[in-house]
Amino acid sequence: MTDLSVDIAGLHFKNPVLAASGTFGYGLEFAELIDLNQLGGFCTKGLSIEPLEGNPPPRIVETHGGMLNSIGLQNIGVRAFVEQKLPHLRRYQTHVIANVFGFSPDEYVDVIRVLNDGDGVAAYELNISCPNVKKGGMEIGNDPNEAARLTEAVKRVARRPVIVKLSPHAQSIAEVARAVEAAGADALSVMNTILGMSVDIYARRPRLGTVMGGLSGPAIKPIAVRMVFEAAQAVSIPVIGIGGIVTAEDALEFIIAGASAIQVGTANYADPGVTIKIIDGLKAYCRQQNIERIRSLIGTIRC
Amino acid sequence: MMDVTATVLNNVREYGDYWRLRVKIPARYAVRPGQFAMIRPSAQWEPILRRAMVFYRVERGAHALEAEFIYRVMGRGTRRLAQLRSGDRLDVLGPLGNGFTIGEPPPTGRDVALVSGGIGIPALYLLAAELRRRGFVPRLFHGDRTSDVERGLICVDDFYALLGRDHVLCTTEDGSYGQRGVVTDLLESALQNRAWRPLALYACGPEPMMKRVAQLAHQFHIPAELSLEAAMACGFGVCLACVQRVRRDDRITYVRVCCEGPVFRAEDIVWEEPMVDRPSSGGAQNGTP
Repeated sequence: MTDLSVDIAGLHFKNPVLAASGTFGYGLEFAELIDLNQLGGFCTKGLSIEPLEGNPPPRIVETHGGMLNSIGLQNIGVRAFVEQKLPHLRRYQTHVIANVFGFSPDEYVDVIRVLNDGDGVAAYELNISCPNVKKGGMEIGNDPNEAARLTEAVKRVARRPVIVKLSPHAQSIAEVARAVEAAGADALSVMNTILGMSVDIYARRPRLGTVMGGLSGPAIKPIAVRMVFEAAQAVSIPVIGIGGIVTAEDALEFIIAGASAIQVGTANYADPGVTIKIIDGLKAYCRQQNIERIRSLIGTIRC
Repeated sequence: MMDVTATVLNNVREYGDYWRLRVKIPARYAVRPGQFAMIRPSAQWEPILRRAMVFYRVERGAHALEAEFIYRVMGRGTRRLAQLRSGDRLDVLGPLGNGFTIGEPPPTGRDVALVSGGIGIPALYLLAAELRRRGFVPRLFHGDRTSDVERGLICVDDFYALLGRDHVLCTTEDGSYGQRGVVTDLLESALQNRAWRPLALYACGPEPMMKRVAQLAHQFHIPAELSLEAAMACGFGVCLACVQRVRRDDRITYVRVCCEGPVFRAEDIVWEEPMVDRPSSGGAQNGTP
């Protein structure tokens, strides 16, 4: 019997497969389609202190090997999440990671305070890297000092482990990773989408309502693997790998490169059952490779 | 809503870019007129997203559904679908969306109007059948840019068989089939004839057509339901890509076309200002060809 469990930030995950923020709603949307109890965990849609309407459409464009999105963090607000969604999530045996977003460090702290009182949240994931909102998001994520300051502020109030989701746009992912670790982060998520753009050649207009948006999907996987590798080399806290994972083989690349767990994003749209298939695929790989515990595989890459 | 592996029974080109896909779905769910499915060749990740397709015709057997989808080959995804052969597997997530609202005929009349443009027509077949079953008398107004010499217009023969020839009125922009012109002009002249006053309008087609139908519905005081298309990644309410601006409870807000739609009351829709004039795609299909 293969042991797929991993420990991250003091939490025990039954397996290293999580669903990524923004691609899994508030979890409940998937309950009709898959057994949520089988997942290691999932990250909620980014939660802000007030509900957000999001960006004007068109909000997505399909590209080769992926898609661009500019949803703009549309969400019901953290209070509605705690009151309306969280009570229904408590019946599932999976870790609910609340993804947190603010337009200023104070707003992140405000969201965390509301979540602190919510029963059933396992950890917080700070989104300091959303490319679709001008202020807050990406600016903080690109600057090691700002990222560290925010992490510190959140850690002072957070009653649960804090995972910081890094941007691929920082000059040095290793530098931001170290700064955030020094500021007290319990784990890192690497990485968010990459800013991209697509043009309608007949209209000579951008295909997205907001001109630019975040690129996700298999096209970004090699970049994400490299960033996870660099971040994992730079810090001693666990790194969660994200970027273009659609199969167990993809997930294994990240784990071997240094990820303690992985998140599946865009693939959830095309195949709501993909996370379960990846878990099954990891089991099959471990059996075939005679690996008793998947944690023994983490960061075993030889360069 | 469920995601199952279906089998292709056949997948044939009707004419031009129009294709008809017939599949066997190992499930027995009921499909409401106007509901859709998200489809991809099984385990295919390129292109990454499924395509949204309205259920055209559905037969419920003892253990499975046989469903037809009509699509237009417009880009990478639909080109990939067109390569499917009998026996191939495809992932079908459905049924999705709200579907059309259908009441019972009031004592005042039984006439209703269906309006479609291009690839919008398949959204109205199950609706027409259900309306007839309930005692309404639907009349279809359908337009396209051009027609096929041998095949005429896509799906129209099926509507002839269902509604009778005199209840199907067609236009083509090049005059090659039916009346020359656009379908909303034909609808308008029919509405101006006081002898025929439909109780409701149901429409699916390209945005300029839909806007005109909404205007006519308002002008003639006829309730209208429009089935919209939008670029969507998931089809079941998670990605928040397919939003439409609507009036709800005295305010304007975004709702999801996949869940709160795709069918909306015409008066609720807040139309976005057109960004540009795009070359007519003539189709209400998924916004991700």
